[in-house]
Amino acid sequence: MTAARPAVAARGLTKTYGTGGAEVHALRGVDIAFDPHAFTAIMGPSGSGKSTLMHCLAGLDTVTSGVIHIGDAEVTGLTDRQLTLLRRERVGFIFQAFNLLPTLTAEQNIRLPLSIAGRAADERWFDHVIDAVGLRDRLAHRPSQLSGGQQQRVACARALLSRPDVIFADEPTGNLDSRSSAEVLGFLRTSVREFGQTIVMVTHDPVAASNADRVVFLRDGALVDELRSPSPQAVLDELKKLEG
Amino acid sequence: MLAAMLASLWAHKRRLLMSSLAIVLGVGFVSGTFVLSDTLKSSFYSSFSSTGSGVGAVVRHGGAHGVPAGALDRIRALPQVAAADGTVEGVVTVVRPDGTPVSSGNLPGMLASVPSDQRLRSVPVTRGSPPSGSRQIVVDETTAGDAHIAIGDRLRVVGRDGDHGRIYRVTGFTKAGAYSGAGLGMSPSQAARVLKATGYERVDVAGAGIGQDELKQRLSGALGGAYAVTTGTAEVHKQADDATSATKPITIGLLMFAFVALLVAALVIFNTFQILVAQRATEMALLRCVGATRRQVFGSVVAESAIMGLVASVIGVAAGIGIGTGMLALFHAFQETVPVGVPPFELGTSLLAVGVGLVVTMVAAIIPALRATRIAPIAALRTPDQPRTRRAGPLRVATIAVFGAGGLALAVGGAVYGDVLGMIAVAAGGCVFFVAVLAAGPLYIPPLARLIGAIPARAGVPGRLAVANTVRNPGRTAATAAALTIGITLVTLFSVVGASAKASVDERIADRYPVDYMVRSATSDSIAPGAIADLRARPEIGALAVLRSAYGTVNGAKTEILGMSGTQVTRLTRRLATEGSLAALRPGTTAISADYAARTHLKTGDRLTVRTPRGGTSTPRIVAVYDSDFVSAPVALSTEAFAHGFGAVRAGQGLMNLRPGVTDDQGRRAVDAVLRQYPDVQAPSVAQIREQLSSSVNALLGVVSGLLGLAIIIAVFGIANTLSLSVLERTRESALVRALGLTKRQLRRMLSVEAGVTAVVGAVLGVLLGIGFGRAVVAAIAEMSAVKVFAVSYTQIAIFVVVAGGCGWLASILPARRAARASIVSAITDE
Repeated sequence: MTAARPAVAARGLTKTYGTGGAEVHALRGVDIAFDPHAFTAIMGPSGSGKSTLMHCLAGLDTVTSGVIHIGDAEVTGLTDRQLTLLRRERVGFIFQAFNLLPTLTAEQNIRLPLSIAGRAADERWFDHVIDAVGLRDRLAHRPSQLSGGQQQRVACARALLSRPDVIFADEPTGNLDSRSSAEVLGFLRTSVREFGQTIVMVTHDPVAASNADRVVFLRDGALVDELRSPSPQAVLDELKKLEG
Repeated sequence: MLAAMLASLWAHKRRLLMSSLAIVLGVGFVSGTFVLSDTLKSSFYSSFSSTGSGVGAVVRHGGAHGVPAGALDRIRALPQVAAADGTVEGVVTVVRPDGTPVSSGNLPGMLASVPSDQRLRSVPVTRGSPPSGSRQIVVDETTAGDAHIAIGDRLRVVGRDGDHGRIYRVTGFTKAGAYSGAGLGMSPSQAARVLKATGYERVDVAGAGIGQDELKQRLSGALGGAYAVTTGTAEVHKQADDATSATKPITIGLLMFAFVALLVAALVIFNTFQILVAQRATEMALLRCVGATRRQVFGSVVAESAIMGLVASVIGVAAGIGIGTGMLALFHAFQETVPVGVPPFELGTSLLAVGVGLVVTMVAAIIPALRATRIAPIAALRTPDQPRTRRAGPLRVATIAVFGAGGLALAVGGAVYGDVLGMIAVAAGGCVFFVAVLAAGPLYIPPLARLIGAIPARAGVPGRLAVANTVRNPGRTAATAAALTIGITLVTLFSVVGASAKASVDERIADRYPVDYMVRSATSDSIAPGAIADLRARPEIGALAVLRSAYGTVNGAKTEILGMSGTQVTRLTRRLATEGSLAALRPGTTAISADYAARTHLKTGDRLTVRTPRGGTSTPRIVAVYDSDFVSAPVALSTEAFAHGFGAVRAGQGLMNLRPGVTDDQGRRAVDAVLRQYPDVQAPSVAQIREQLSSSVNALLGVVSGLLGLAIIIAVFGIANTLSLSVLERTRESALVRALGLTKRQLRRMLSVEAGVTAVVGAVLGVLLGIGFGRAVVAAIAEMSAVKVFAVSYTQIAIFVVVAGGCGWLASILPARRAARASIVSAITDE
């Protein structure tokens, strides 16, 4: 799975909080590229900088130095408005806390990014996505009437509907039981295999990570290792090595 | 517990800022009103006590004719009396010898006696010399300055001593008094002559080396029981109290507006604490977990409100001194004796204002505090949930429905019934209905908001999200909108009553006053006969009818009787008679007003028994009924019968038309040319009267709307407050929509729409209620006032709604900025 241009690429990424003695280096020179149509997991112990990395890659957070590209667009150096438009057009998000709008129905939540962008949804694709996440009979429900797993599937459908260049998933299974986790992960894997979606997922769960094509490991703000098509055991071993 | 409460108060100080401002403004208004009345009172006291110092005693006579000149001579003859002089006061017309007016506006001049002895003078002569003899006059400094009068100038003063008055020479200027028109002074005897006074209103006496009490005793002893004697000091206090009591209605009126402002502030406070309690459910539950009792939780919320109320009220009192200074400046513009500058600090009234603010804040926090006590300790262990409002229970709905229906029935019944009792019923029923409508807000606010929000919702996602946010918490939106509804309802109510009053005036003047000019005297109730004759002699004048009036006995009751010429009036207008014909008015017949006819059930053909001082008793037959709006006196006789009954009575009022083909300008010039010789006779055109009435209604409406504006400002603070608290609560949602591609501008627009929709909902509700109440008030007062026609100024009301929406948008600016500034990452990852 190699392509001419990576879906997302970062070079020399550093992120520093605070100044002087209170300086915290969240990222210390990260170089990384994510292949298109691939499912990549970012792992690392707590405080390793994996969430910060994802936020920077997605243009939600600013970097101290370094360059990030999403497709052919350089993320670093964009104004807030340009960043917003970039996210709107090219990026999808799935969060740990589902983050659905409580005032909207499931369907309205799913269609929200496209409505914001003022684009019409491809209705065949919409049907396809809805069937894939199995939410056909839940579309008129509000988030408070849905289970955690259902809410996260709504969030997945929301991310997929606009066919973004990349979906960033931040601990998507963190708040779910194992059965719902399996469903969501299965769905993410399917969307990569069958729909050619690109997904970057931050997780601390080895089982979740083992669903990815590639797992990269971060420690103290730097990339330390990576595994291709790993088993849960292999991921666990690697994590133990990093923490130990 | 106290420490926890204080810590929480400090932590949330920014959240309490907006609602504190509401209290600051409300208390500021109250304390400003107090400052104003304190200052007015003290200024009256000081001005009276500083000038009346030489007067040791004051003598009045119990009868209707005052103190006769002979009594003054007897007082002067007493050995203990150093000086004594009588006082008279009355209105006159003052012009320059060529007829140009001197007094400001259309106000008549106020003539007062100036005692020759300066110890007795209540108004000092500041330049020149006091008037003496029969040809001298003094003028107050302000009038002299405004009209460029110099010492030695000549002025014509028309009083009751002649139709053309007399010429006087200005000998000096006096300090300006409280009266807004020209202040004039003459020697007591001349002033009494000009005013045709039968006696002096009172006699001021200066004692010769004896105390006030002793002087009073001596005077009482010398004059006998028919005279009342008071000491000078008592007199000064009495006059100051009289003067102050004149300002009491103003103070009470201002306090009523302050009450409205405080009510709105209370609603804002209530809403704030509702939201804070909901947001801090976890915190409260944790306190319960670690052992706080319900009572302690309740106490902590109320104590929090008390501290906030205290701080805000103290600031409000300080603000009130500023507001009071502003009001004084405003008063000063109308009346120059009102002092300007920073008023003194009054501890008593300041404490009262602080107390009011404190109580209002604490009372407003009671329901939220009770709600806080219902939070179960277990809530601390659950993840914080979005605060949700419970659906209104059937009991609550039923209670609201019963009160609403009852209030409405009472108000409608009162409106139909009319009269004073009806007014009271309208007011009471209206208040009950209003409260019920506000309490039912959560039931109808969401559909109303969706309806009003349909326009912005169509414009895009921010609008749609905004409308969804507006209706997500109906209770909160309802309370926020209600604060605005109160102000808008009252403003609309006044606007409707004002528009109705104007429309009524217009209709009455256009329909029933088909005459061009009204002729009347500025200073008395009679018109110089020469003026009538001269006007009739002008070729420009078509018809001129005069009305005379006097009191006689009709069917056993003392009644005002009018004398008019049926032919004259008929030539002027045929629309006066509603039944029969006034042309048939001659000796032996009579006409009655429509009101009188309705009251007595008399009709044409019936006979009245009329007794007059000179004509004895007669029984004229009723030949016509005339419109009471036009001529208010209940009974009219022909000019001949009136003269027979009452003798020669001067005309009180003239109604005049121009000859056809004469333009308004030509007519005006002709009328002015005649009236130059009769300075006190005025002939405003009906258009001028209408203009005057209209502009005074407008001025009153302006003042009332301005005062209610404060309540609206407070409500706008309430909107800003609710929005900023909601924004804090929805940080994560805001971050989410930002992450999904909403630009900062769109996020700000979303919040602006939310605030705007809330404001317009409140305003629309207020407008509807205001029009309804206005309709009821107009119906209730139609019987007893000049307001008969119901009218609504839709442009004005559209402006209210637009301004309210605009204010809502303004209120959203700061919270929206803060929401847009928030970092997406920290909001999303913040657990």
